[in-house]
Amino acid sequence: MGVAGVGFVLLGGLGGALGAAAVALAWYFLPVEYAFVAGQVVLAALVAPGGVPTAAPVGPVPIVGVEAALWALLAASLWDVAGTPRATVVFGVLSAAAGGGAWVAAASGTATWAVAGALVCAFAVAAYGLHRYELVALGLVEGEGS
Amino acid sequence: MRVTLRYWSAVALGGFLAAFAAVLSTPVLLVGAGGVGAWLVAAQYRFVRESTRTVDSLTVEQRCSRGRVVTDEPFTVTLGATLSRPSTLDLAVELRPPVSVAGLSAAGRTCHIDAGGREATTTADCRGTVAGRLDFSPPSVTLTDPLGLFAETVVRGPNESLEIGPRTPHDVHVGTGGERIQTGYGEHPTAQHGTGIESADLRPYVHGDDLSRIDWKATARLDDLHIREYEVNTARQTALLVDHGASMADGPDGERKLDYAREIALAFVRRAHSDDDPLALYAADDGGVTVEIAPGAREQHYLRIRRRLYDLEAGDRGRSRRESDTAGLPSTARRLARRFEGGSTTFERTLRPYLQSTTRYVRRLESRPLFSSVRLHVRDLQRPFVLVVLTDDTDRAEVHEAAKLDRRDGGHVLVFLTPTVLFEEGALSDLESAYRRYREFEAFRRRLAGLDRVSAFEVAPGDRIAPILDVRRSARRSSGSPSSPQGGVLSRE
Repeated sequence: MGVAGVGFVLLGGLGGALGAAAVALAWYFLPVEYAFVAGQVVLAALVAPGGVPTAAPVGPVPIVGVEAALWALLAASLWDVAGTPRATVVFGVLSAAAGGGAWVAAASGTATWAVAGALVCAFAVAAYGLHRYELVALGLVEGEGS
Repeated sequence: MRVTLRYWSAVALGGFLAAFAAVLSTPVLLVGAGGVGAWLVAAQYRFVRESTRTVDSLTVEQRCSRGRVVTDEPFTVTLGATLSRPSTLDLAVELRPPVSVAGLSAAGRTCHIDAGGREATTTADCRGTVAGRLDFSPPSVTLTDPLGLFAETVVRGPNESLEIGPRTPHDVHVGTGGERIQTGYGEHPTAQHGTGIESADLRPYVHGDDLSRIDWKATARLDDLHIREYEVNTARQTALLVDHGASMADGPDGERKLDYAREIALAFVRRAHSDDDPLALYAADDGGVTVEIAPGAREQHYLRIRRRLYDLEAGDRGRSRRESDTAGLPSTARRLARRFEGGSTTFERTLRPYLQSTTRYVRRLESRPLFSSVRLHVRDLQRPFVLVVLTDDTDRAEVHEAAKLDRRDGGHVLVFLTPTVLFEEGALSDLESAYRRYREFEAFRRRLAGLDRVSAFEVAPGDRIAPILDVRRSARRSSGSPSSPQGGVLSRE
């Protein structure tokens, strides 16, 4: 959280500090995904065109630092409960594929709504596939000798 | 797989980021949406993998404390779950009892293995409310993701079943000296012929017979006028006197002395109902008379008696039980008094006044409920009548006097006794001792049966009397003497 807070302050000064406080409160009082989403919203408000004006232009380093800190929050939640790195590795691969792909697609000029739709569809298919796999693995498919 | 509210809230957050990214064309928000999606899919992958591994390493057992109980008798079910390797999921293993099981608390029916744990056990107290076979389905196992995103329920473990018997005796032995009697309870042949329904005899017509009674078929067959006689239907008052004192509570639940006595009483009710005999019911416990239903023969009357019989409970266990009294009869006292007459020792002089006075004995008897019930009510019955006394052998003097009291005025007394030795818990563990006590009981029963117009029977569980009779048979075999042909397997004292 400290890295993210420093990044927010570097990116937005006082506004960034307020945003960092909001993210910290969400992290403390709400489940981790709320803090992550709050961080993304604050980050977008600070760096998006027409967002909160900053005193001096900043480079990509604070942005990458904030993103890395926020993603580390999610990864840590999986690591803690899993006790093994496998789920965290899966999360890292999926994150790289999804986040990186979205960034590259957006940077290459593909319409943002199209990239968003593709992401939603990809995750829905993955979740449903895992659901069906679980039913078969546990013998819960109807008519399968249960 | 079930998903939780938290899962849907995370999906909504991801959808919110994706939607705003599309609307605002902001790639940063799109990256955030990708992060939420990746997190959800990774968590789901972790749950699927861990749940399959957990179920594979899980062993579930359930066991009932007893194989057979009677309705509403408590029993326990033990549920246990063991993991061969720790899991990161929380497990809740729950019994799945049939609907007829009652008294099972929500906490007692479930055992939990928290993440990292290996085993859990719970024991639940319950009871079956309906007689029959009770099948516990294999327990359900609910696996929960510690993140609170997913849950899944599977069924694992063996079936368990037990028999729930009705709260009635299942093998009622009624007999004398170990031999079952064959006559139906309450049958009373009249030895009188006349008009009726059941055909009894055919006799030649004699002058003065009613012409309408001529059996024309028999007349044609025998070539002479014949009259068919029928069994005469008679109404005989029957009074049931049921003892439900504390001593009648001996025996396992549902098979107590009172349960056996009740079965006999119900048989008399059925017989009286089918014969339209007037029936009365009196019941007494250690505190006094509890039920007084005067004789009647209406449909509702029999129904009322049946209900009252079913409602009878064996005495207040808080009250003191009657003490066993085997030597309190005046005849015994008189015999001892004659022996001590003229004796000069201090012992004889001290005892003599007690043995000569019967006042205390009479007072003691009059204070006893069974005896006073007979005195109060049964003397008002119309003659002839049948008095059916259902009690045990705990207070033999009281039973003896109650049986003697009303046979004098043309009544017939049937005494049904439940031998205490056949109902006490653990009494049959020492068969030799049990047999000795049974012989004492049998001697008392014979003394009762020896009274004029008194019949005495034993009422007991058939499966408990059999081992005692086996002792007698083996003793006879070892001594080389044959068993008595008329007195059952027990010889006369």
